[in-house]
Amino acid sequence: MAMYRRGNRRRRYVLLLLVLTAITLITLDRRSDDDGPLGVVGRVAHRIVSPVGSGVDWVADPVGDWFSGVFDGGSLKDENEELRGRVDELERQLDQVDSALEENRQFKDLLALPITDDLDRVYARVIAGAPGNFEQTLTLNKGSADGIVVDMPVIAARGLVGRIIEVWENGSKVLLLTDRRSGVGVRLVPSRVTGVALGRAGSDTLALQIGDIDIDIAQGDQAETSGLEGSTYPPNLPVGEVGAVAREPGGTGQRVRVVPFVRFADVEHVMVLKWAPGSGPVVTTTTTAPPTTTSTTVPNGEVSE
Amino acid sequence: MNHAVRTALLVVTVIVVQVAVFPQLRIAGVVPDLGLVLAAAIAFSDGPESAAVAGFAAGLGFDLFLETPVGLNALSYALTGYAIGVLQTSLLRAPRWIAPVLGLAAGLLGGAIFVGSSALAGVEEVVTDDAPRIVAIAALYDAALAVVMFPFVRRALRGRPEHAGVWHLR
Repeated sequence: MAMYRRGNRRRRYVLLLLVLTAITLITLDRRSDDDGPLGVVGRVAHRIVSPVGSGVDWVADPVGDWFSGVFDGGSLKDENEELRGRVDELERQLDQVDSALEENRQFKDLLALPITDDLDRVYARVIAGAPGNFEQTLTLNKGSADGIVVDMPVIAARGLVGRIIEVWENGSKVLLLTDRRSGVGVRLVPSRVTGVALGRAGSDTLALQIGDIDIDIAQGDQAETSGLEGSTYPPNLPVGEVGAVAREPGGTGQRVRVVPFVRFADVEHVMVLKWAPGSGPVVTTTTTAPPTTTSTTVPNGEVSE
Repeated sequence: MNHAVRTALLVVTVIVVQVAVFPQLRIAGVVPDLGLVLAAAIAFSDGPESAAVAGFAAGLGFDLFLETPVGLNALSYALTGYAIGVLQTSLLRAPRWIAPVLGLAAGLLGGAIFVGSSALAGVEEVVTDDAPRIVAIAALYDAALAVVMFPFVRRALRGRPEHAGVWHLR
């Protein structure tokens, strides 16, 4: 009996020790930034597991597609019809695009805005989705070895994906627009009104609050990055389209839901734009002759090694 | 091979599989908590103390890959493993269906502890209206995986009669 009690007491001590350790770690992590010891350990862990993830991605992709097919089968038919409709519409719009592009180019030249064409970019492959259920992230197969740093914007063929939040030597993590911690400055077209579109937990849409109730915003209006001074993202990157608009209770403003153009679950290849928030394009030069050095120049003339 | 080494290998394997494989095998956008199933299986095999330690290690390893604060999964996996371990000591026999039932229980309990401790720590991205749906789907996924994991863990950790759980009494 005495041994049983001793065993019970020991178990409780062990549990208490584990709980206290966990609480200490949570507190330390909440108070430290990514450069703290826990952040460093995390990056080392990513570096070790990334090659496994890459290999598994190649093998598991067809299996994942099968899973998606089984569980999303009902919506695929509707989606197919919707996409056919959109193709027809886009073909009609394509005819009008050329003249608009030329006009757009002239405006950009006039305003001397930094545009995507001016930016260096890194092409990367998505090797994993978010490992957990409470974050919206993607893991890429390119990292600091390719000049990627934290906060660089990431785009896919259809538009903005998010920004880099973690980098290790041969990989990086992207925070998607739909993550609750994400916010992107957007401009709605044609109304030209600006605001910050915020990610919403558990939702595929972004929340945008517009203070002015007199501005005409309609379903289908396009949202692009505003690129206002100090913005995390360069201007004019396509973000999404307005999915719904509603008046705030009390008539204090308009509540807009923006549906991102990019279907994050289907993204396989992305481009990381070498853009420094608040500074603009990042010019990276790498020499291969020994000693190998990488220097980074930002527009204000500062050079960091 | 030493029992502790085998347990450590199981923990490392589960973390790698969770991080590298299951993000591609989501059901309704949700991944399972393989570490919780492992903690429950070890609880059933070795008792509450081993389950708490293994759960803590698995959760801590998984935490390193997440954006939520390090320690949240370690806390929920350790407490869940311990609770399942205490529960199994009161069982006299282990029917076939016990693995999915305990997998489901571990998923629900672990998920609830994770969300609750996130609320206490002020991790807003976890405490949302969608959290109950995510926890419920993850728990069902855990239950399905438990059918495979429990016998696998029992086999891997065979040969430790002094602290044996109810599996060894069958």
